Amino acid sequence: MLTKLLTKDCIQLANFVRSWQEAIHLAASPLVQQHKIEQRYVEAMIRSIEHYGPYVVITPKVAIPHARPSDGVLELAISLLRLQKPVFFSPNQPVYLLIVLAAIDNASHLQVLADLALVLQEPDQIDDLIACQHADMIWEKIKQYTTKESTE
Amino acid sequence: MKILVVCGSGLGSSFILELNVKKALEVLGKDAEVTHTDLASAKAEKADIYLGAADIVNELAKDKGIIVSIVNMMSISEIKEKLEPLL
Repeated sequence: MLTKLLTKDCIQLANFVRSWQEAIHLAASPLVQQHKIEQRYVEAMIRSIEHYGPYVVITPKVAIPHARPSDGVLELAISLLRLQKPVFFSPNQPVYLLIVLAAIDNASHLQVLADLALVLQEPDQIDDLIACQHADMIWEKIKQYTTKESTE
Repeated sequence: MKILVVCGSGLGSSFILELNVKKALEVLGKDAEVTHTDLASAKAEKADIYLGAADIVNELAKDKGIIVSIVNMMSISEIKEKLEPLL
C-alpha cells in the first residue's frame, strides 16, 4: 500500500535546506504540483508545528509533517524528501527524512501508516534509506521493508 | 484500563504510536483499551493514561489522569519501560 501511494516521482533527494519550513515546502512540492494538496495545506503543516512543537519528529532523524484533511487535501497522498545534511526541528532534533502525509479522512490512510511503521521501526532501515543516492533505490528499499513483514 | 494516545491532529503520529503501544502491551502480556485522538478531543475524553509526545501531552490538565510523554514514538522499549510500572 505504501509503495503504491508513494510513487517514485514523489521521492526527492536534496543536499541541504536552510530551515525546517523550507524542508516541508520542498518535501510537499510534488504533491502541490500534482494537485493532490493545495498550497494552504503546506502552510497548515508548518503552523501545526509552530503551534504544538516538533512532535512530528516521531523517531530520531525522521519527521512526518501533516495537517488535517480540511486544510486542503484533494487526494490521499504521501511524499518523501531525503536530505544529505540534516535540518533541525529543534536544537537536538536533526532530521534527514521527511515524509509528508495528506489524509482525506480518519481511516483511509491507516494501512499506509501501518506500512510506514514497518519501515521506521528499525533504526538500521532508516539509516539505509538516508544513505540512498537515488529515488529508485529508496522506493525499492521501502518495498522490501513493507513486503517482508506482510508475507510472514 | 484505557490508554488514550494523543497527537496534534489525531491522524498521523497518534495512530503510529497506538500501533506501537499495542505492540508494547503484547510484549508485556498486558491488556488495555488503546485508542488515538487529537489534543482538543483528548481534553474532553476520559482515560486512565494519556500518552503522546511531550509537546502535546503537556498541554493536558495535570488532574486528568496519568500523563506519559514519549520521546521516540517508534521505540517499543521506551514505551514498554514507561508503561510497565503503571499497569
